[in-house]
This record gives sequence, C-alpha cells and structure tokens, in this order.
Amino acid sequence: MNTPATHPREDDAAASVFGQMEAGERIAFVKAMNEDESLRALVDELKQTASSFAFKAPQMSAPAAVRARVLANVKKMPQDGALRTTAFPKVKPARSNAWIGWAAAAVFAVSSAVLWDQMRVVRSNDLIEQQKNGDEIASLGKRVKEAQDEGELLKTAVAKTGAVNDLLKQNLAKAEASSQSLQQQLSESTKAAGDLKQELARVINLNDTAKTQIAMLQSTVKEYKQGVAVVVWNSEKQEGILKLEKMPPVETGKDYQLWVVDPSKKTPVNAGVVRVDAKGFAKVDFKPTLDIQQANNFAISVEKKGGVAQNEGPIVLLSP
Amino acid sequence: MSDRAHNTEADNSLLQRVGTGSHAAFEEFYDRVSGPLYSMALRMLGNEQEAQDALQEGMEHLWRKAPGFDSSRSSAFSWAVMLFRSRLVDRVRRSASQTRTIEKVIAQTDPAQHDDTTAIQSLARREDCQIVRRVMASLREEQQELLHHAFFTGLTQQEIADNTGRPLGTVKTVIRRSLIELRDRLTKEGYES
Repeated sequence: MNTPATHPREDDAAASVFGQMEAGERIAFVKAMNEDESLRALVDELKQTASSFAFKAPQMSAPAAVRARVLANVKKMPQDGALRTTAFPKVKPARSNAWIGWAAAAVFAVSSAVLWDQMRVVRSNDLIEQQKNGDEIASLGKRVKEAQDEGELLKTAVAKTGAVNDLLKQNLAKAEASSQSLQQQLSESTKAAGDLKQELARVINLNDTAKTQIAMLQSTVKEYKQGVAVVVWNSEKQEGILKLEKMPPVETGKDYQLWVVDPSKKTPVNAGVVRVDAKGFAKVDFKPTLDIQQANNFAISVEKKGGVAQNEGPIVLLSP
Repeated sequence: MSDRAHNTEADNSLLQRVGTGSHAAFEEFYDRVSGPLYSMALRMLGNEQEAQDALQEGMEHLWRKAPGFDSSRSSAFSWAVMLFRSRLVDRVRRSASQTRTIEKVIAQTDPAQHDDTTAIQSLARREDCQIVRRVMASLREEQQELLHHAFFTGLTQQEIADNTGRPLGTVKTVIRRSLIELRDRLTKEGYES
C-alpha cells in the first residue's frame, strides 16, 4: 500500500469506507470523488486498510455444504455486464453496396450528434440554431433517400451487364442478400432518426417555458461506465424525461430508481422507479414526489424492487 | 517478491479469471476467501445459520460482480471483503436492533485468546492475519474499540457516538486518525492483502 499525503476530506473518506454516510452526503461525496482523483485514491487506500478487519474476527472454516450450494448455484447464474460482452452479429457487406451501410451508420451517427447538439442548444434557448439543425436532419434524410435510389440503379446496372460466369452470379447473390440486410438497417436507422426528431420536438416543446435543464449522468463504477443517462427537467412544469441506454440489468429483487437532489430538502427526492429492457434501454417521464425548488443533481441508485421512499442503495449514476 | 505479495497477485489473477466467467477459478477463489468471509459473518451476525446464508448469498454476489473488479484500485481480497461486508451491514440493519448488535459484537471471544489462524489454509494469509492482529493490538484501546464498532456493527458515526457515550466529533476524529494510523503501520509491516 502507498501512503498518500494528508487530504482535507479524510473524515468523509473514513465515513465513506465504513458506509456511514447519509444518502445526501453520499451523493455529494461521490461527486467530489469524481472531481478529485487524490480523494478517490485515499478512499481506495482506506478500504484496503479496513478490509484487514476480516482477520480480527475469530477464524473459522465455512461448512462444506455451503460451498456445494454456492458452486452449484453460480453454474446457472449470469454475471453482471454479461450483456455488454455480447457481440452484435456482423453483416459482411458486398463490395458494391458497402456505401449503403456507411450511409446508414453516418445518418444514425449524425442524427445522434444533431440530437445532442440540439439538446445543448435548447439549454441556451437558441431556437434559430435548433431550426437549422432540424433542417440538417431533413437534408440528411433526403440524402439517404438519394443513396437508396442510387443503390437500386447500381443493382439494375449490374443485372444489365449480362455477366454470366458462375463466380459473378454467386457474388451478385451475396451482394443482394447483403443489400437486403443493409436496406433493413437503413430502414431502422431512418426510423431511429425519426424517433430522435420526435424526441427533439418534445424537448423543444418542453423548452417553451424557458425553464428547461438538461443533465447527463455519469458513473465512476466500472460496470456502469457504459451506461448513458440523460435527464431533461422542466422546473416550471415540475416534470422531466429520463432516457437510459446500455445499462446493465439489475439483480433479481432490485430496481433502478431516480432521485433529484434539491439543496432545500434534507434528503434526495424520489422521482420514481425506472425499469430497463433487455438491452438496458428505458425512456420514462417522471414527476418527483415533492416540489423541487432547485434541481442541483440527478442520481440513479439500485434499490429494492418497487422502489423506496428514501435512498438506501448504492448510487450508480450521478449528474455533475 | 515475498510469499505474501505472491499470494495477493495470485488472488488478483484468480478474480480476474472469475470475471471472465471461469467456474474453475471461482471454485479456487471461494476456497481462498470463504474462511475469512464466513468468520466476519459469524462475528457480525452472531448466528451460524444466518452466517451460512449470508456467505452463500455473498459469494453468489461476488460471482455476479467479478467482471467489475479493477486490480488497479484494490486487491482481490480487499474487494471481496468490502463488498461482502456491505451485504452483511444490510443484513444487520434489516434483522436486528443495532444496539443488540453492538452488544453482541463486544461479547464475542477475543481471537487473541487462542490460535484460530489454523483455520486459514494459506500460510501467506495466515501470516497476514497475524500481522493485522499484532498491528491492531498496538493501537490505543479507544482506537481499537471505535474502529471495531465502525467495521463490525454497521452503525453510523452518530449511532456509535450515542452507543458509546462519546461526542460525535470525537468519534469522527478517532475513527479517521485510527484508520490512517492503521494504514501506515500495516504498510510499514509489509501487509499485502
């Protein structure tokens, strides 16, 4: 173990190691650790030290029956994050139609980027810029359509060449199969872009009152780092939208729960249980149980199934 | 590399394999950590059946969480102990009045009274255990008592202050200083786990 220099938050670090913080303190402390690497290192060091207490108890051997039960149970038990390692099936595009896949991916990526840009823009109430980005989406949609038309023309041209050798026929068959798959991907991407546009329109609508705030939640816990969580909060309507992606599944008997941290309240305010689908995706409207005067942070914790009135479980995602 | 450092490396490597879904590695990891974890559970819960249930549930939890283990932030043994302790604290808070728990913990036999370390299979870990107990015994009585409460009872600092009749500020300061002192002394002794 290394010995880091004294840190001004040693008291809090020690309380955190033993799990002795109240929910509100814990959220603030997690935020501080996110911003201060030396504080995180200190907490890691002290956890290492605290774990030595395992030797303070009189040492006993665990019964063999427990070992047998545990080993039998884990054989049929998935590990957290197992979904993240599942590879998506790869489609091998035919050379002549490869650009369709790239076009689809580009449209999706650009649409996503445009959405994010739009959300940023909403924050600054720059409606002119929003309109401009909306036009960009429409323009991209048009370009996708043109790309589709060009793809059809190419297929027709290939057919017209009259090339009849077996190898070319085989290649063409493969190309057509890939093309169908890519067309499907393109169709899904176009639909996704449409969904994003609809969501954007909703965000813009929320912004009508100029009381909208957008927060992106982050995690320092390895298994949740892939998770994406965005909150759009309207302080005047006292309601918001939460969108989660790539969240690992919670264990049986648990649920994710959203909290709003309002400095005028003693504890984080319950904003409801959030259930993600098998792909770790969820989009929910939420309304906190109490009026929020100032939403300083949003946090997601893992709680007992059905949720709890006050935060008890570990905070896994927190807005800066 | 000392035997104890080698032991820590072996633990880390095993747990990383567990994180990739290796049941064989988990079986070995179970054998290396289940003794200290079960001992902790007995100490905190004071009931054999409940400790066995907690060990089963805790080891299954470690299996699920293993992919998240990061050896750059902690040793495998430390990771397992702290994750398991967190589950035990939840059980303690759910099942019993914390006042009773603090009494139960105080009433446990002092391990220094007899050599119980033979229950630990690994010689290197047995040596770690002896170092830890020697270093802890070198702390002041008040430091030992408050650290002991903080680790084994799951009480908040305010609750420890109420239960031991000390001011909250004193409890915070003593726990913080004792933990830092313990860290420094263990480091000096070459503690590895």
